[in-house]
Amino acid sequence: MTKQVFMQKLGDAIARLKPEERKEILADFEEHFANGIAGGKTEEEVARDLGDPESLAAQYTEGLPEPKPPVKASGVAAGALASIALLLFDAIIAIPVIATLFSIWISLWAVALAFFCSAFACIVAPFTALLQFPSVLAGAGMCMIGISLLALSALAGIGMAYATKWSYKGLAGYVKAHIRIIKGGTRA
Amino acid sequence: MNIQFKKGVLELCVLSMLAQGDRYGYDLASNLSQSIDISDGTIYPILRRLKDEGFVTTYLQEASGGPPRKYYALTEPGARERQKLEKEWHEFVGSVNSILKEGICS
Repeated sequence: MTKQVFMQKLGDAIARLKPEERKEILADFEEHFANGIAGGKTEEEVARDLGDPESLAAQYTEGLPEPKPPVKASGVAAGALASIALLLFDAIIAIPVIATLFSIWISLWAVALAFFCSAFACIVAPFTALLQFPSVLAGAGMCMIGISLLALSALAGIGMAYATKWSYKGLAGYVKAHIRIIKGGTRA
Repeated sequence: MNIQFKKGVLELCVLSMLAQGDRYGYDLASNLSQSIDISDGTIYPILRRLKDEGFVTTYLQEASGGPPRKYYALTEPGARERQKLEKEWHEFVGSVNSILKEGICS
């Protein structure tokens, strides 16, 4: 490996560091090459003895956050066009769909709540004087129905909790995508 | 050798070499890689870390027939760190030796 190739590889691999830091590191290796050559080594020998530039770079960059993927800057016109298209899409498709899903979501929560209230009523009824049950057995039966309903409402509640979580994630992702597009950056 | 362990030991080596007097990068690298099986480049990230932590300082000095060289000098905190690391090293080697000899920790 020649000095140029070594420096190129090292420079690329530490591109994430601050410019002045990168410059200092490269200067250290420049100096090392100069000293090695002055000491009678060839460029290739110095490079070989230095070791792999990428694993050296890793020692400088360890502990730093991962590099962000490059963001392609699009033109102002393209950005504006994308925003308008997005608004149209929202108005015609996204908002009606989201509104529908939202109403379904509310209804399903209401169903779960209804199950729970019925269960409560069925369990409590035999213990109150409001309703007269013909026998203890009938009262106990009512209680049993109530407990079954309670289990059903718990199942519905768990299902809806998951559905809520997923919808929230989906909506958050959708909003994030909006922000990205409106800011004018599209992933390269 | 375990990479983290090696790094710690190399820090002690570099600090100890600098305790004898200021030296430049190439000098440190070629001396160290002669006695320990490491590539010459390994020393530069270590020197940088030592400098960031304030254990060494650097200055440029003209060299005859070449570009100026960056010299590394031990600081007061660096000297203290060296003493601390040396003590840890002796304790570690002592424990390992006693295990090797008698199979027990002393």
